[in-house]
Amino acid sequence: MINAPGRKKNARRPVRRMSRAAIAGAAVTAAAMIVTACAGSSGGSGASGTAGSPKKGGTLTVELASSPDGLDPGMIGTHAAEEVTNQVYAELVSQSSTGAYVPWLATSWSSNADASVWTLNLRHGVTFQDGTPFNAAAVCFNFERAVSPAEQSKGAGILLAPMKSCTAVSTYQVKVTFSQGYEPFLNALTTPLLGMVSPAAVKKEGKNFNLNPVEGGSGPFEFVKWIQNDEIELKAWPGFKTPPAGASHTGAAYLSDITFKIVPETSVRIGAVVSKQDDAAETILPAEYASLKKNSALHVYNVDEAAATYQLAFNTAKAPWNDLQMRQAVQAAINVPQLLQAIYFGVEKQAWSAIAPNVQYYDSSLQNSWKYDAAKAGNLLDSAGWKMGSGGYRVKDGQTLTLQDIDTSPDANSDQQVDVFLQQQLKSVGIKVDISDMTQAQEDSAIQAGNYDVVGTSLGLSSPNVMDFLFNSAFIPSASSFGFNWAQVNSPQLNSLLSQGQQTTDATQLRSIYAQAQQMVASNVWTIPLYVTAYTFVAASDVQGITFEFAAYPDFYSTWLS
Amino acid sequence: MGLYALRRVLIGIPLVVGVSVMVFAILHLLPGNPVAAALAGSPATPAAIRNLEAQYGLNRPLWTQYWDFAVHALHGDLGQSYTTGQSVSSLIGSQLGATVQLTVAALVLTAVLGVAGGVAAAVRQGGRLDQLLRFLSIWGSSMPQFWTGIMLIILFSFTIHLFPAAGTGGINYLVLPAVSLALLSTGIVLRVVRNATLETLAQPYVTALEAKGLSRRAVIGRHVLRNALIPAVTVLGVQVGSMLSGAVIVENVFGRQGIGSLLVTAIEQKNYPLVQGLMMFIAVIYVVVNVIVDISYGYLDPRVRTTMSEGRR
Repeated sequence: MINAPGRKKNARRPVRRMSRAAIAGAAVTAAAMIVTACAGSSGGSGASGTAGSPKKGGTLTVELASSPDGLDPGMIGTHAAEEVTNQVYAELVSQSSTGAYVPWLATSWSSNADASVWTLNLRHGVTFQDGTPFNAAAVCFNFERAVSPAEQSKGAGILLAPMKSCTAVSTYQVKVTFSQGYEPFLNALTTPLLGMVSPAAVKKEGKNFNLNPVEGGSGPFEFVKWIQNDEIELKAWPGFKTPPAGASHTGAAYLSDITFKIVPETSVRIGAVVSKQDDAAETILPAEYASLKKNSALHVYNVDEAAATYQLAFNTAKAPWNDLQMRQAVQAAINVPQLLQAIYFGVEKQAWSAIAPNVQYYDSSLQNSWKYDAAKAGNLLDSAGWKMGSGGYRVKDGQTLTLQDIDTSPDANSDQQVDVFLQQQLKSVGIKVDISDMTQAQEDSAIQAGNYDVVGTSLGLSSPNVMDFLFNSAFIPSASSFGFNWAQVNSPQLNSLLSQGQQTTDATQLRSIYAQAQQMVASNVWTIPLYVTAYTFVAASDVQGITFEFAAYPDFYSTWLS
Repeated sequence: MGLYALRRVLIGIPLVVGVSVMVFAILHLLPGNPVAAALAGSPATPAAIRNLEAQYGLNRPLWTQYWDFAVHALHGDLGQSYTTGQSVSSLIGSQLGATVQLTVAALVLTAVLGVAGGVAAAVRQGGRLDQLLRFLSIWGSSMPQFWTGIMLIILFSFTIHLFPAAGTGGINYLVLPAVSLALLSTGIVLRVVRNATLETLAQPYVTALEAKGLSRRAVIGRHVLRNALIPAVTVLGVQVGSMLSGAVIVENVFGRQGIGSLLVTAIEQKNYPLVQGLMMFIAVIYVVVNVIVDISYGYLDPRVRTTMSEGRR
């Protein structure tokens, strides 16, 4: 769950996401609308609700929007890669639909008081797809390769960074020691990045394993072939016996094959599903959402990601944005519901906290805790000494009130539209917004140099510990290090809270710690949360049983074609 | 002819060297640290960064790095992909087939339709066919390729279920992408051929030939066509370059394999060695094609050969 899917601009996790080269233009949107208009009118009957009991067999074709960067969970860093590996590798722990942690390849787990030493008890009698046994030695092999500098793991390595050692205490018991308390370890174990890989298969393929992970999996599907930039084929592994606790069935998957096709152009990808050439596709254009939902031959899934929300981070080290009043003024001047409706057509929901509602220990008391109030914004600005000037913008001591907003090109998830909307709304209270669109590399340099007043951000980590990366002063970006604390928050109180959150496993304490942390962030308006990032997926109505993980990856174990 | 051809090839060599310098310079002078990209923005320690820099040889002087790159490139080693560790040359090799398929198909379409259309339009100058072809050629070369690609898909794949929308494979998967890629070039070639044919038809010797009793078809086929082909060949050569860049768009729209898709993915993933290798490869192809065009130009137009071998024109 380290990866935030879809077209997020810096859909960051501590590992950088791939921004999509979106070639869409007005003509494309128009084309897309024609497609759905044509298809919508031929919608017709289609399959209705429940379609009986699961049927075995069949090939599911799923269209991805970008190419995976590998198929070895320990080495990958893209969302596309995790979507595929999610079917091939099983994890130690899973999450139920309520977010509770349930056993998968680990039957139970415990830690010491400050969560610096974890003990995992493993399931007996499990094998990898190549027939070799799953045991404590295999688990330690997986963990060690993730943190080994020689392997250069991007995603998994971050998740296990504080690990000091992994010991196979017995055949089915693992002891993991961290350099300090690390409660987020449990959540990390549920992500595809820590899917269990067969040590024998890795050793056999060597460096080539990332491209050709033959028989290295532990999940319901096994790898068949990968034709770069074209498609990836998986087939059901008949020997799969171990779904997570609470799964709707046991044994092999219903489908016999899955083919993932790479189709970067959104209108073509969705159009192919609408015209029944393929079964499913990810990531729709928000403008198509309403019409696709009306199409009875399709099912549209809009899944909230458990991650940091998309929020505007102020550079709180730079005047006048180091002043809370000024930040509150900007917050009051943004009509978020209007912005979301105009740009996302109801796909993205408004966010109230730095983390999404389905992240553990989300503080729901923050819902509706602020609202659009242009008058309030004006008053706050007036009392801070910024008076309306003749040019329509506020001035103070000869300076015009300017907000430098940086963003990346190409546009990801319509972030640039958000910037423009912001510019409009803030203009009406007299704030001048200067938008600079630049390449990712340039944006990173600007962030490290502090050359910005506000920048949009989100991080795709599914544990509340994502707040540590976003708000701990250790992660303030500087010339020598790139961190994700773009709001430049330097609060010893918050640092200590977040650190406490890592060093306890007591649920009551954790709830209180993270509630305090979220409230601190909210009341200081270090960032303005805009929306909960969502993952959209469309499938033909006859595809039943698709489930989604908390980090919004589709899971096809229980999927069948009616 | 041989000397002429040799001269064209020799001129190509400094061109390729110049291209390699530019490709190298562009990537290394752009903002952004390839190591940061390789670490994918993760919070790495300064030691890890230095390690990677040493590994990629980025701490050496620029000209040493260039020399290394050039020498390896001559041996066909374009480095390793940052994300998968595969050799760039083998990656390019594996993806090249689909692009060649696409480009050749588009070129054939362009040549046939462009030349045939151009001649037909010229012969029936002013008539309805001429007007239609002129309109189509302007339309084809003005519309953005991603739009025409998507329109073709909507029409012939979603509405009339003739062809698959996306993917790589047999002829079925090739038709729409090839047409989409060819549209722009066909429009241009058609206009050029039409103009050249009109010019040639207006020559006195054509009138003389017809007066001698030669049939229209023979006049066009044996005499006019060759002259009309001269500018067409030059234009086609330029179009190959344009098609290689058009392939990036077409492969993206149609979800096809190929070096265009590879380039887009490489850029998205900040895979510097792969981007560099691809740029180098595409630029070299372009130079090679133009050398071939120059040589064929010499074959088609004897005047060029003789003037060239007598010294500078």
